[in-house]
Amino acid sequence: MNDNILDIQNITKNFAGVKALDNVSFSVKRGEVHALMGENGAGKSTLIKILTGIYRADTGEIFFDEKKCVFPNALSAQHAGISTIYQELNMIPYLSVSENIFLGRYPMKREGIDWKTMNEKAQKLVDDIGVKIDARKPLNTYGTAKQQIISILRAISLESKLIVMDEPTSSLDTNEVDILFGIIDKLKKNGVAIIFISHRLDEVYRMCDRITVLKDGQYEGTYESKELSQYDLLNKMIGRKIVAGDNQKAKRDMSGEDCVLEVSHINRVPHVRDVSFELHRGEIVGFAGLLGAGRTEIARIIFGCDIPDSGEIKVENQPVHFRTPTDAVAHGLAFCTENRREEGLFPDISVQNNISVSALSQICTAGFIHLKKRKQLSTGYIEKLGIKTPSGEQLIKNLSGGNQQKVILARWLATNPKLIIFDEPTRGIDVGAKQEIEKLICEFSERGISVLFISSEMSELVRNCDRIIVLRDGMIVGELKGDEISEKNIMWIIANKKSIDSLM
Amino acid sequence: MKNFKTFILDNVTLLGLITVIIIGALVSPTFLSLQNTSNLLRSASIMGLVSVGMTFVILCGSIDLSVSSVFSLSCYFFIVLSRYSVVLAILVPLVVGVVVGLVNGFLINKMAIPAFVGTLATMLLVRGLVLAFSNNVTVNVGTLPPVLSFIGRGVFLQYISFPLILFILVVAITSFVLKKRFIGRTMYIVGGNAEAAKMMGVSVQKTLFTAHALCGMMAGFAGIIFASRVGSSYPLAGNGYELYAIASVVIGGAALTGGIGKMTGTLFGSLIMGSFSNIFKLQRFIDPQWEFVMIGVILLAVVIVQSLASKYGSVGRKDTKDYVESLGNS
Amino acid sequence: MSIVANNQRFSGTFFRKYVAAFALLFLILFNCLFTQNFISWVTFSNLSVQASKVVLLGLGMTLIIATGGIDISVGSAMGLGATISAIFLANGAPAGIIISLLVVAAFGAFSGVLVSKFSILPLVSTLALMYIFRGLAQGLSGHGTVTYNSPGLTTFFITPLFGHIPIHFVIILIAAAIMYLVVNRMKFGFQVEAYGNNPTAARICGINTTKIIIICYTVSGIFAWASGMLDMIMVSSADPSTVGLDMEVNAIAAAVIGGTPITGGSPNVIGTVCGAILLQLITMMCNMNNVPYSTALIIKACIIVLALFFHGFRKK
Repeated sequence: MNDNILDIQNITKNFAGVKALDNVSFSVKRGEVHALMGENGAGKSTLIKILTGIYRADTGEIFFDEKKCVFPNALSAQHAGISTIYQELNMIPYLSVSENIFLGRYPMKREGIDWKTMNEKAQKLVDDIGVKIDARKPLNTYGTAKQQIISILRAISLESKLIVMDEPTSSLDTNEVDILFGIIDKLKKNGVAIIFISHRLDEVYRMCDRITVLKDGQYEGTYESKELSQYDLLNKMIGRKIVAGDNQKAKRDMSGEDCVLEVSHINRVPHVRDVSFELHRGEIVGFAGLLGAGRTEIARIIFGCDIPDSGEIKVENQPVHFRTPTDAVAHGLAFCTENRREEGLFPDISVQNNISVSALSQICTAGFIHLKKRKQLSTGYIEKLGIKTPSGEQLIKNLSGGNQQKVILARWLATNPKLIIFDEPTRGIDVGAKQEIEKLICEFSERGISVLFISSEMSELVRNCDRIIVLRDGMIVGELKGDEISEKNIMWIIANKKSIDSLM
Repeated sequence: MKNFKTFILDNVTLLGLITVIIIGALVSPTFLSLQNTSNLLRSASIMGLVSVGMTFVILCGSIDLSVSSVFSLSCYFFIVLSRYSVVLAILVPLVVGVVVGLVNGFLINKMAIPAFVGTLATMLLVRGLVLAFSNNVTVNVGTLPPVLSFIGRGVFLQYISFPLILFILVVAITSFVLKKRFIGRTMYIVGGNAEAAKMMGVSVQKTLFTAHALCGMMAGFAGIIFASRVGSSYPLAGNGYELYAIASVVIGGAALTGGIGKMTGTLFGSLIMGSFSNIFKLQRFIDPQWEFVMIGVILLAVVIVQSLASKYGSVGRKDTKDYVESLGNS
Repeated sequence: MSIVANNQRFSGTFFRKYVAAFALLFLILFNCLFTQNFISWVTFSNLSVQASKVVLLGLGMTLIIATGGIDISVGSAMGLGATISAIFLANGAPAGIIISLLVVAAFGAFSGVLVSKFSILPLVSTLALMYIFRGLAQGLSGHGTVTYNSPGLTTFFITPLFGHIPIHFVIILIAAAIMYLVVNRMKFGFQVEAYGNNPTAARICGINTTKIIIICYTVSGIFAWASGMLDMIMVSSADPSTVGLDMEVNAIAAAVIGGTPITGGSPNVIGTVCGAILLQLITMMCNMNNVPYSTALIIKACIIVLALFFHGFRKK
């Protein structure tokens, strides 16, 4: 018998000409927990979707249990013995726990579904792992954590040979993670292989035997987890060679300036834990950390999209309690969101209207839009930011990603903000536009606008930020200033959960 | 205390029914008389059948506004065909209902038209057909053949009407199908999480087609009984039944977003609506014309309560905290 | 890649935006050529009188559909407004017209609150309100039609301006112009458009979305009231059971034919006006050619489905 349960060979997948996966090969042994690591866009989720039959690979082969497999849909992969636990649960909230476990595979009696047997079987599964769940209750009586566990039970009951767990711990807390790991240990003993995707390094090192790293759609390598330090892993995942001529901005010490934003002890379980920091006038502060470190979540709380469980936020030394973004905008905050398409653009509206949408009060008299002023406002920003569009009348969906992003920058600049939060402002944008946007952000800060800069690209943070706050698992684990700022130091802090002071 | 609360929440529909019955008894001395109860149950059964069909559609997260038109078209066919053939008089209205249901399914699935406008269009279309066929007049046929007449007027033991028996039978069968058969469960799955349904190989389209076809058929069935009872067909028959049906289903505990609901809930919901409607006819204080106002108000009240319950309900994050605490204690 | 040529003037987008206008133009030309006595002031006047009600309702509906909602209570709201006004007029209190306006507008605001604050499906909340309004109208009127005697009012509305131009046509023009200004020139209209395009982004941009939705439903209520007034004034009476019956379907059809996307998006005022007149023209053609009402209903249903299907592909 072959030692490998899964062999992935030379998988390539293109999306509209963009290579999401480029000739990726790796294998998973029977009964091992195999971590799949990589930052956003590395190709993990594409790979998983190909493996579970949701996408089809362009080229390459998959051997599962020594047979060559092509899965036309998710169901056939499940039948073959691969099941997946998704980040967003694919379960039915209102149905009972037992039904969710046995969905589509109901035990049958002559006249129909045998509920009694189903409930008993499910209850046994639940009891076996020692969690207090009543299998007859609707799934949504339980919180996300237990739902996650229940979805794992479903995979177990399927008697899968390979279980893919996509961020199974992202919404669990420590105790719940322990329960989950108990289950994984048992599975492992029974010879079930597990592909484990997580951004929590501790968990990866605690559970996984081997680690495969993907970067930019390419295979970086597979390593024994014992032989790979956290720092090395980070370096393989997110480290980049320093490009010659990569001129760093002079780091400024702005702690003497007025405090524009003061966040103290905000919490929102499970993604944000006791976060406190300050932001001064004209300062660029970066948020570094892996995915799921709580960066976006903190930004959303500051901007009033989510309401924190506890903690206080002050804008220019005045305590504020934003309930909606409307309040935040009124206080001079701006938020360039991560998902441009879903949360930023008005696709069927012209460029000039997209620019003026948040600054309507400036160009309106008695509720009427002053067309000339709108044109002035928008053409002003189109010129200033160098937005490439035939005219302000053009629909924004016809612009390129970089230009769309500039339109959104223009939109927020038009509100004369005190503080702009940038969440991944350069994602999905070509190199030229990227440099321009970085340059613009620095210009804003010179004019006294404070910037909170969230990015997964460390080189970008290192180039532009005056100060970098490093987050891990929803907590601030360190801060870098002045000369301390470097990719190496960021990775060191993430890997060791210790502030740089202890390094000195 | 907690048990009491869950008991109330679990049986809120039943308690509602009891309340309405008490109100009825207080308002009119004849309300609880055997004859009135029998009448009440008969008309509640007819409307209830429409609600049974609507339950399928709402479970899938869809909606059907065309039931009232289908109801009156079915009345028309039943009356006209009763002269020629007993079998056709029963079969044709049912088939017509299924066909309209399939058309709804087609608009929603294949043409990607939102259910509320798609079925609004079929409502209009079918009403046009009713008016065209009947020339906008009431159609009478002297006496119905005894078999056909029995469907709507048949009575056992003096008070148990045949429509009631049919209704109970249909509720029992559909309840069984929803609970015990895969096809029934797919409706819950599709309404609960269509994405997950697709991943599990459940065909969303097929389920929606089935639900809409069943809904049309039930409206047709109710039309048959109604026409048999009244002995004639008039174009406005069934006017407002979509409101009655949606209200019955919602009062029965179903969620309009789909995935939640039970046939027994619809049974109680229909009885509440039936009793309510009956009280309005019996009492002398308020003009019966206010009936629709009250039904509208009740429907609004129920959906507002549902919305508040889901907003401030004890699911989700709060439960996670409870759970963490319980782990801490153990 | 970075710049896409701006030649949409002759592409599908342009055609789709004005498809209702083209269809209307085509139908008018067709009638001019083939229907006898079509080109006359009488036809013009009839068309204006009939279409004005649908235009008003359709304009309100356009706003609501642009937000991704629907209001099927407008027909009954028409009936309620007309009945209340007629009751007051019958009792010699013309000020009651204002009261009826306030009542209907308040109900509009109420359904806006239900939709935005309680996140109740617009279809369900307005379905309930549809029957509530109808029942209220019937209950308040006692039994049957409310007749009043105020010949001055009616005469004013049926006397053409400058000898020929029907006042209803002027009403259509004014209402359309106002709505066009509101949608294309005013902050509110622009915020509705933004909300319809992307509700999440609208919220992040600081738009007070709750307020926008409540205003939309209120405006729809006001239009329904105005439409009810037109209906009442023409006959000096209001039948609570029939005023505005099924008019919500016409209003929805007008908006949908006009090209306002049913799932929410940019409101198309000119499209709605053309759509409403188009619908009424079809009804008139049916009448002139003795096509029964039932067939007209069926034709209408088919037009709605076709329009939905036609515009449906725009989103994808």
